[in-house]
Amino acid sequence: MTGLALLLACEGTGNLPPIFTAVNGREVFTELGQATIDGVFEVEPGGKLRLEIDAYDPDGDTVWLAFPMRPPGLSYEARAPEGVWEVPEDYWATELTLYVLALDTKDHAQAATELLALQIDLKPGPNGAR
Amino acid sequence: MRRLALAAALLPLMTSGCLLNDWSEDALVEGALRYRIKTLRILGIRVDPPVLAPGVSVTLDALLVSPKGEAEAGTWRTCGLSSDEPAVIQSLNCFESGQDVTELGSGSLPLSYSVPQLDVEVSCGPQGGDTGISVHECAHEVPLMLSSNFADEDARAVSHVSWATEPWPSGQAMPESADSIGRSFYFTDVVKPGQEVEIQYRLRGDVRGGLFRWYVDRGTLGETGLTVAQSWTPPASAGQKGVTTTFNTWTPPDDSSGQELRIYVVWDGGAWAEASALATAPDMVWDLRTVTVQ
Repeated sequence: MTGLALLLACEGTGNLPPIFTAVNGREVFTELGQATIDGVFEVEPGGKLRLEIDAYDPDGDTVWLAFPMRPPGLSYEARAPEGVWEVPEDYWATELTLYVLALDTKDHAQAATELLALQIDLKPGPNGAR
Repeated sequence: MRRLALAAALLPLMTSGCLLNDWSEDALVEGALRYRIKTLRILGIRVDPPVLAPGVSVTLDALLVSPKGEAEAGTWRTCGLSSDEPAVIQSLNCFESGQDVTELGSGSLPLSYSVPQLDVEVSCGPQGGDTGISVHECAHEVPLMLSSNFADEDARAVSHVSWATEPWPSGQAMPESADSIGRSFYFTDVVKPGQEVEIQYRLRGDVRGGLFRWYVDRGTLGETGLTVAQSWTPPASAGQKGVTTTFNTWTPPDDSSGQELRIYVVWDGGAWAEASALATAPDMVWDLRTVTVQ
């Protein structure tokens, strides 16, 4: 991620990419430009996982969010710092890597970006059903 | 483990200027955000059937797209087939040496190719019996490269393939290419500049594990250039296949009135079929919808 983010920053407007700081209060570490977060988020099929995503842009630009490979039931506002994943009762996976992109402009092609990967475990519901 | 490794290797990442061949986060960002067709790009490769084994006749096809149209010709090469032991070649340096490069063919796409018997006998150790090793686990892991020139632009793409050293076993069914799967777009009839429209892409069958890559001439894809399955409708009765649906939203630019714009979806069927352990070559499928913005 780092290389591309830096490359984009160099090729684009000179902007630095946004920086993630926390998700649901858990600190995001950025080392050598690579954003990582410890631990796994858990949710049950049929349940809700709220994601409060804190990020800022060093240049003061508005931060936009995007979710490549967004799973079904995940809703968000591109300019809001949160999303909600209402996991379908019949969701098929047992674990998921949820990717979040922070962009410093709405225009995908021009954006300086930072990527964060969230590991999510889907625990069986109260009845054990998926 | 080998199959898992193959699954990753079968996800070719293609650009016009440089070669990437990994499933890294850099590549993910590239796929998510660089979906506009601004240069000649190779968006998909398909070997049909997805088996490279001596004696098998395959069709090599690719999707090569540029702002000026679709390229329809290319040159296919591989390297590393002269080893007398199963070769695992991740680097593309072997193309530079020229000593161990095999040209599969050159010309119009799709290209027919009969996989020949290898010149060198490959030692794979004991096979069959108690070892549980089948002949198709005796294979070279090599890069397959397509290069093309169109409208004064060059493009290359590489996918790592499993190249069997022994003929396909007689009597064993040949896997079908994912191209045989029914696919369709669902799209509004009226597209206006600056107005977001939803595009559904449906496939017959359970491909919920699939990754879909989207490309457009202009405009913004709300779900980025990478989507996954959004819904699965099980078959209503025996003999049917069910439907997997993914979708995206697309907003054509404000100044696109009267323009004819292309939307491509590419699906890596090889990664999906790999679970069967039969697919040994890239098996990507693609569809185009051309839209006139009103």
